[in-house]
Amino acid sequence: MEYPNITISATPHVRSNESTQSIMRDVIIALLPATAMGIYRFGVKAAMLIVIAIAAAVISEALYQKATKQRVTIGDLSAVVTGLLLAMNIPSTAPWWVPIVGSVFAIVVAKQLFGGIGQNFINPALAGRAFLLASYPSLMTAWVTPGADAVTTATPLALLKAGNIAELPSLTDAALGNIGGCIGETCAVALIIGGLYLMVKGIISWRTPVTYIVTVAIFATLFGREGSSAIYELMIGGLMLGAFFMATDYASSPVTPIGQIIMGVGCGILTVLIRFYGGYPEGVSYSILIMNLAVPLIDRFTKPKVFGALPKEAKKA
Amino acid sequence: MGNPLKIIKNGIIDENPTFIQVIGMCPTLAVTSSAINGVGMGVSTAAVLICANVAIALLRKIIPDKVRIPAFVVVIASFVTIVQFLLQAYMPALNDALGLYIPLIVVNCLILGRAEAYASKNSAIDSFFDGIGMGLGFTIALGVLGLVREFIGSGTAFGMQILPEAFPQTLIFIMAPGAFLTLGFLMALLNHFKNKKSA
Amino acid sequence: MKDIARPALILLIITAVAAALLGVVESVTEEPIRIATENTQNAAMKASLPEAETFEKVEADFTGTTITTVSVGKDASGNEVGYVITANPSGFGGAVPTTVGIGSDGVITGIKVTTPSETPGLGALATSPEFQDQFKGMSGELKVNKDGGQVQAITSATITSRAVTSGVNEALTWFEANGGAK
Repeated sequence: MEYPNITISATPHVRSNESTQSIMRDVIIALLPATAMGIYRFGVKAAMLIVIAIAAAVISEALYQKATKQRVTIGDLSAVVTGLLLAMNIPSTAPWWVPIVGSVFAIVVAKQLFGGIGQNFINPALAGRAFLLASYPSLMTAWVTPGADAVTTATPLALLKAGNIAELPSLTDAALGNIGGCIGETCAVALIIGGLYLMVKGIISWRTPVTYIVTVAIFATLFGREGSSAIYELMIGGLMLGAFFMATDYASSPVTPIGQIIMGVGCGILTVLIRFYGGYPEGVSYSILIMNLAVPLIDRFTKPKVFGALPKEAKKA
Repeated sequence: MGNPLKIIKNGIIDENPTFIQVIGMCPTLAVTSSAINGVGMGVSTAAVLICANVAIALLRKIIPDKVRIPAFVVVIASFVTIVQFLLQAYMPALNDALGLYIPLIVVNCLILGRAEAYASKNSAIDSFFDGIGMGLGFTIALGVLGLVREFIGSGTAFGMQILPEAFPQTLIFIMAPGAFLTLGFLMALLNHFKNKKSA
Repeated sequence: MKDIARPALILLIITAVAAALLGVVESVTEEPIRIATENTQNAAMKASLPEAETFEKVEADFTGTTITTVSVGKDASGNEVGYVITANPSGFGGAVPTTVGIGSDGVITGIKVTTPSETPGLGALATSPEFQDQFKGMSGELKVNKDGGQVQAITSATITSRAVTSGVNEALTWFEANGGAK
């Protein structure tokens, strides 16, 4: 018998419209304000680095998948996002080959070697940045002032670490990105707009970013340092970029709701500890990477109760 | 009596301490930031291994089973101390470069492992060749590892500048993470060729 | 009882033979080791005070400073040409041993820095000739350029640069207090 009007298939029968590609597209859209501000502040050089980073990421993923006889999945745009995020994390004075090395490491080592999309245990863009910072320290810390006449400058965090309060930019400058820093991390307002877009669209949960930011604010108020206030600490460095776009990477962050809050708090505490008392001026990348390592443990200890499960005492009886 | 060449080949390829047995990792990762240091450590370890293997093989019928580990350790530690004296006296630069990893040769799994697995069960001559084979395998592994890390991380090979000074030096390779990365890649490469051969 | 005595006895013999062998090797290598260490130390000191041929250690109390050794440098005819002072200031990752050669006129003849715990590519650049050579000919109280002085700090390695400068200052201060410019 024929059933021309019936489609037969296995479950699931209700699907959302999301695909990896649509999610990544939304992330790219959310990053557009910060990218635009980065190019506006730091010029053509920044745009070039962004293009190179994205191209290197996409090409290295395609080549790796071809070489290992896997299906080439660059169409899901995840490599584009990784390349873009990596470019946001380097200073505009970096030589052209720096984003290439960073992207190749991020895609091939941090992502593909561990199983590809969904299997990475740390954030690939951050891993790439950490690799670059350890390998080329003077190139990765050579920031310039935004605008036409670029002079070498220090980021507000570097100034605070050195105790150089007099040269600190104002709060408005910090919020709008008129400061030295990596391409995508300077304009806090643009990043917040992007983050709100992602949360409203349901791409990321509010839990990790909001608790991360709130934790930093609380600690900065309780144990402040000279020259900066809680709100200033939120506007400077890579905090907004990290909280909304890096700590929320699906594969390397907790699955459970409580776990996501723990991740936010953990990242916040570590960031403040490194910024205030550690040897490095910025703590965001390292704190997120460290919490990435703790995610399997966090997920294990925050497993929700199975629906209908008996309480422990009843089981023993 | 085994075939000397076969025993030596076993130590270099089939049972290479670094890439196949994955033992003695501590000095392997720590002192291979340059090729010379890697080879120096390899040769020092090989010297101790050969002497310890022969001594233990000669004494294997005398050492009671109950106290074999303490006896092995005494023998190994004595040879390590002798090597250390000789380095301090005649090669002070290498001694400074290898630092406290020389006395740590005592606890290198490779030496106690070979003593337990081979020297205590085979003749002195066979143990001698086994020491040579394993020592060579270890030295070659550390030399290759050191060379790769030195080349990428400093642009030099055995202290001689190969890459032009302007070429960027990827410093992470002369630090600890670079050691793990390089070792992992080399092992993957070797496994790839091994699998191809057996396929 | 027998199965404790025999292993114990054999272990004792093995240990005794090993100890004897080590004793022999030690006495044979004692002199070469002493010469080798003296040569390395002398070479390091000569690099900071090139005019000196021999060095004599000065016994003094260094509490309150990070100074570890002070030696008087004498030239071939036995005339005093200056001092070599090693200080141990705290850098970024740990101590930064800094050896300073000071001529009899109170002017620095050279410095030698080792950076066992500083970051490669940043603080570790303190061992480069470009950084160390600039100290030749300086005297008085030194500061890095960020603090208003003449010492050109290493880019992005201010802490290490400041540490070396403070070590050099300690040496200069000790020299003023104990030998003095002549």
